[in-house]
Amino acid sequence: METKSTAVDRSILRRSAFWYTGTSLGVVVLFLTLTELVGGYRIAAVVGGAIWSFILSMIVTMPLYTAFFKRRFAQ
Amino acid sequence: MGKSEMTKVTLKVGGMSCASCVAHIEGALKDLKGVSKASVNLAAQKTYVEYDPAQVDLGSLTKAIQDVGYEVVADELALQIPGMRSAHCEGVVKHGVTNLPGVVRVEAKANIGAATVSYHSGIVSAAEIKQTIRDLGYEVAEKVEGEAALDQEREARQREIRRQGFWMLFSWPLAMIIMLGTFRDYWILAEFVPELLANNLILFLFTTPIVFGPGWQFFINSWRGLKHGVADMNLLYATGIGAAYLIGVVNTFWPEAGFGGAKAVFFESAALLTSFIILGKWLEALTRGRTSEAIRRLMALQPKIARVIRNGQEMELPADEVLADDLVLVRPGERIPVDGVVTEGYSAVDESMLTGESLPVEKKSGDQVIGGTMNKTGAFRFRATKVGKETALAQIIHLVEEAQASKAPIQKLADMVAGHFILAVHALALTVFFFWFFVGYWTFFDPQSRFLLTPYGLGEIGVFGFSLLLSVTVLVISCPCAVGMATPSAMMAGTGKAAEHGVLFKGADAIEATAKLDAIVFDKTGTLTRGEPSVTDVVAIGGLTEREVLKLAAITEKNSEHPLGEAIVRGAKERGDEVPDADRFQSIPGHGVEAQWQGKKILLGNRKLMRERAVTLEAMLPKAEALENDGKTAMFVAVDGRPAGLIAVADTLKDYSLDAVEQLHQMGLEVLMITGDNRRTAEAIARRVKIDRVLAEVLPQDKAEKVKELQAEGKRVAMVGDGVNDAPALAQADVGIAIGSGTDVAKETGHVILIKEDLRDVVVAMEAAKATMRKVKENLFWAFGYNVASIPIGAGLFYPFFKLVVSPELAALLMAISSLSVTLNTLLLKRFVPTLKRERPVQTEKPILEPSYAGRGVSARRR
Repeated sequence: METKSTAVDRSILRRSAFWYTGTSLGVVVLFLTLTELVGGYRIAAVVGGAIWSFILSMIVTMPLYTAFFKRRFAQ
Repeated sequence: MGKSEMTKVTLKVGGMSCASCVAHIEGALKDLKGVSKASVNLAAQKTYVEYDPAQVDLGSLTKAIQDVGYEVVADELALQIPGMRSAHCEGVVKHGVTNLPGVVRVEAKANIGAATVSYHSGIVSAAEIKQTIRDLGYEVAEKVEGEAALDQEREARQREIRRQGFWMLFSWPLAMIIMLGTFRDYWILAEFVPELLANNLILFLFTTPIVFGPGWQFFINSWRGLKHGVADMNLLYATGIGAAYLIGVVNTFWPEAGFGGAKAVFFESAALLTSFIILGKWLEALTRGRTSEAIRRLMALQPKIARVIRNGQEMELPADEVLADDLVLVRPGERIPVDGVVTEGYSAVDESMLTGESLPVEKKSGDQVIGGTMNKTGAFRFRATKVGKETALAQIIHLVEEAQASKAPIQKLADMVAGHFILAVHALALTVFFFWFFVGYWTFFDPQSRFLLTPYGLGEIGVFGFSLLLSVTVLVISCPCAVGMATPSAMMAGTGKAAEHGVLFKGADAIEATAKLDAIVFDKTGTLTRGEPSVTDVVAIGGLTEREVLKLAAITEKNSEHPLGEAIVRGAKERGDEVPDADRFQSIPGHGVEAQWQGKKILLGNRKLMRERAVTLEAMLPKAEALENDGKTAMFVAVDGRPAGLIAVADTLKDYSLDAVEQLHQMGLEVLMITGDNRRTAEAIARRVKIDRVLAEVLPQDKAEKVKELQAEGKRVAMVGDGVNDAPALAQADVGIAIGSGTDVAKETGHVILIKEDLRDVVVAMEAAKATMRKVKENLFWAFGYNVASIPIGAGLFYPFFKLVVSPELAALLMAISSLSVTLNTLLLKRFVPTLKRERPVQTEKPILEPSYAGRGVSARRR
């Protein structure tokens, strides 16, 4: 029973990690696109901004996706 | 799955700091198959769980809580087991105790004859563990380890106070040095602050221990949560502190990297942010326990020692080892250890701590005594009737604890908002960053702009530094700690305070519902009235005095077993008259009685009897009809064939019924009475207590239906009854108030239980509920108001106009103040005193209506 539950946990973590990392990278891509469109940014600001956007996006999406997949498996 | 199969458990959970913790723990538990209900009380640091033991066990519940980063705190019991001398005995004890539900761990040491048991007190009690060891054949005694060991929650809180206090002593001096170094160029600071302190490298050296010392707990806790997909308040702190520190490090070591340069190191932000958050946590730990003072005071009432007489020998025992039927001795000034019935002696007992009754209550043989109350004057013996978990005090503590662990509907909303708030705040921080990075900085930025309430300017800060600064400020300023604390802290204080006045709310939802009531329905018999007939009026004619009339009637009825007859005999005796036996006595079924005494022929009965015996009634009829119109039963007395008087008997009102109804009217409530009596009798009673509406001739089984009809009129209805006969109506009502349950509180139906029979406690319950809900609303207003006002300011909404931004450290200070203001506001509930006690500190013995006749033998009307 323990093994089965661990396997389910791993599967939830894998799926949610895929989705929250993907979404966060999507936000970074959006950020980079906007910097290109607006223009005039120093490379350090672009890199810093991309990292900060990624961190915040991960924080927002990580619990959302994890909870979503947990609910789906529970059903 | 039947409801009866569910197991209920209350677990102490450590490490919760905010409303999002509540949502995460509840979510983690509800995700488990077999868990039907999970409710977390942040203020009490407890989690109430209902689960199906066939599907999930306690270990899984504990693991689920631990998995999301919190600690399940078990109670510890240190025992001395002198007979456990070998490895075999050690194994027997260990096995026997481990098998008890709720026991987490047993450490038994045969070489010293001692064992330590970790257990969940919500499932198994210390007494049950000790009894199990005794059943295994070993003597056992609890090690006395001081008062602190009895209160683990307080100990845990004190540990937290000490820990955060230590970190404050560590971080604040360093933060002050960093502040001086950072602002050295301002005001007169340059004259006495060494230049070295303004060096970024020195600032880095001072800030690093703060971030990795006191600040590290936030990184650890948020990482634990994130691993399980949980975002909590620690994450806000960690991202705020981490971002400020990292920018400082980059600008110190790589000033040309383009993050604002050497002038924008933010070390003071990281240091002060940490220090303010630690200050907030320290203050919160300091004040949090005060809201649960009432329950602690109740617990402190539990006596430790009992003086028991067994086999003719007086011995001292731990109070939880007293058995039912033990004979217990209590001396003046001692606390009564368990519940029981007095067998010998006489004393006055102060029951105020349990019932709110301010005067000591006289106790004589046959009277009930309640464990935990204080014996004042005399010594007495009593036979224990309820011990351990069955005592009134244990039941009251259990009820109050359950109420404090429960959740009001208004709290569920606050929890939901706060639970989703963290993610919303991070999303907002991202939006704020995007806005200032792509639009705001280029449109509004002014190098002359400053931090609010400081002389510190933003200088040459770059687009990234500026946007990051506002983003971090939003994270810090938005912390919903105050929202999370607003409701549970007020509910805890309110339920505790009500319990001090003898009013037990069975849950936070009961408080909320009580505060919203429109109508109160009183059951008549046993609630508004005493439920036993008494003599209310005596009318004398034909030369006899009222006293003589009553005495003659009592002589006639002396051998009667009819309730009306008993009331007459009791009435005469209470007035001080001897009631001799009649010489001859004859019952006339359906009519009355006749007797002969000292040559007089006495008749007592109804009209029919008098007419049959040719007694002239005309002089008495108008008065008899008036009494009957008042719902009383009038009986005629004739002596030697001539009319002698009238005696009226009726169910009498309880003391303070009128007072209670009047006060409820003043509170704007409609007051109704429900009874199975005929309408005339019911309306007579209703007139005397000023009831607005009478529901008469209602059979007991139909009372719930009547309550339903009132609810259908759109009213929120409370039903006040005795809790046994009225159970369906109490359950149907929005609030069921069981009155006068005395010591048997656990068996009562109803949402609110009044320990005393004093109807004015209904008013106390209303006032306590209203005061609590007022506090909840004030707290929520301040908490939400803080967030609503502070977030736009933190996000830079006013920057375009005033060129001022809130620094992260100021944001942290504001956040700490908001939490503190909510807790302090809650503590004002400690001053709650019911109107009843404000107006009349000492209860008068004078009854409101005629029942005084039954009590003293003199009619109030005729006096």
